[in-house]
Amino acid sequence: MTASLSETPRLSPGTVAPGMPVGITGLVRRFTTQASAPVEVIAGVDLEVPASQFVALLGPSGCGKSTLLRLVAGLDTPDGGAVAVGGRPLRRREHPEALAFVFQEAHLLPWRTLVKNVLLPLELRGMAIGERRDRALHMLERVGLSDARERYPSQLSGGMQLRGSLARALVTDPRLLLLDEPFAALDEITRHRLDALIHELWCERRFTALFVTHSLREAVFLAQRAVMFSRRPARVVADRPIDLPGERNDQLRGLVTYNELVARLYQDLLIAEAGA
Amino acid sequence: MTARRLRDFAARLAPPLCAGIAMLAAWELWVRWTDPPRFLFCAPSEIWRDARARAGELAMATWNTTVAVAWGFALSAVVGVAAGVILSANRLVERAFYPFTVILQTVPLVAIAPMLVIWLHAGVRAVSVCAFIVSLFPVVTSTLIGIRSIPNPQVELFWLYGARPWARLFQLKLPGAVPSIMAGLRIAAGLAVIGAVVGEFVAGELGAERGLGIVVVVAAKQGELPMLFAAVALASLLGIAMVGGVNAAAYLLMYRWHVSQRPD
Repeated sequence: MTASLSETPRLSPGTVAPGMPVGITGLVRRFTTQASAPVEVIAGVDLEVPASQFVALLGPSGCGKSTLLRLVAGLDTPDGGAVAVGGRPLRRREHPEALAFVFQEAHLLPWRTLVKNVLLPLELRGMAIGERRDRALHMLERVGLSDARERYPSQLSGGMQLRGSLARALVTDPRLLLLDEPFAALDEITRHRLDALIHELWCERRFTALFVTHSLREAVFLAQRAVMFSRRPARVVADRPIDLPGERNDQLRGLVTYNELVARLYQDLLIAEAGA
Repeated sequence: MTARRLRDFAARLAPPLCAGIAMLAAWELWVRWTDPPRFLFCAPSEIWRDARARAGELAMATWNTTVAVAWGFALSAVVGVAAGVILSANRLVERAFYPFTVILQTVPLVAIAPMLVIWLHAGVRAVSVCAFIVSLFPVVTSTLIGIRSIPNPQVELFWLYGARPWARLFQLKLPGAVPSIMAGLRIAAGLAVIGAVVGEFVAGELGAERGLGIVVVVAAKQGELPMLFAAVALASLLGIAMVGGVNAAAYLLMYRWHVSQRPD
């Protein structure tokens, strides 16, 4: 494992628990449709993610990256192999603790105000009203949405909704954050801002992150490591460290090394697309 | 602000009001010009005259029908939503019981009303049950569809945080299904009026407790065409009031967040 984070200093002191490692061994998932033979989506994937690492999962569309993420979250059950989160194997239909999932779309509940959406995870876990509201307000401040706290999702822009869903995911202080192409539908500038926000939050909290994306630039900007999957059924075709300065900002996007890394990942993607 | 809202309200009310008056005027003129035999047709002014002469009787009948409609509708709202929730909880339960709710929808009310008379005796209880039976199906279906249409990620979110069944029901399923449930209740409100009036034909009481359905039957038998029209008009007004009530409830529940309630 190349980019372990043990040497990186934590940027914010305090109570934040470090990330959880993720271990994936021999993972297999097939989908059975009535019409045809079972389709293998994931064919024996092994992946070790040390605690607090930020990993980008890349690959051709429909290759099974999202399925992999869902298996790690326990939202789906594997047909073979195993997933261990925090060193403990994930059991079937177990609600994983200290884990948060950011979906492709924000999926805020439209009948709740923003702040009530953000405090929902705490409410479902039975935290007292005053405390959960305080924590949600603090989280909203952190993502720059304090002024919009009493608004309903239909009154928010797409970027604001996604920031809201990020706040909802982080309000429980997760030690593993799974992101399934959360910014695919956004314009370039908004996307850059949200990437910068995720990076800041990760520097503060040092959760482990598995980030599925189609944008190679986004992957290089955010991740310490990029894993490229083949066309379906998904296998790992490349696993590269992203050796860039710990602190990422907009200047990074102009660096030669940054652009070289993007170009190299593009070569990997072409190979993956060709069906290695 | 209030002046503006008042003006908006007037602007909404004016078109249907004018259209209604124009149609009534056309009807009145047509009857005066062609002068059809009075056992076949009558003019709005004659309906108004007879209705005023027997206003007390009509008011009592309207009230009695309203009570039956209110009971029947309230019952179908509560039972329908509960049944929709139960059916949505389990595919097997849905497959087993959903076909039977279709029976409610298809069996003719006039065919079951006599049974209700046997079990409950003629009167407001039997009539309420008629209104209930006729208006139940749309509530069950709309609740079921509303719950089934909740986006998967929202369901998974609740699963990920280990939400208890009650939290899933009250924080996700019911609020998520509210727009659909309201659409079902709107249909049920009109059907409840039809169910009560038709129910009264068979299961209504004849004495002081008689409702609009009995007024219709008696007026038809005695060839009192204006009374017949008056009873029909009052039943429609009752239907409009019911649907208006559901619309108001839908507005109160959803105006802050749902697209169906946005101003034009």
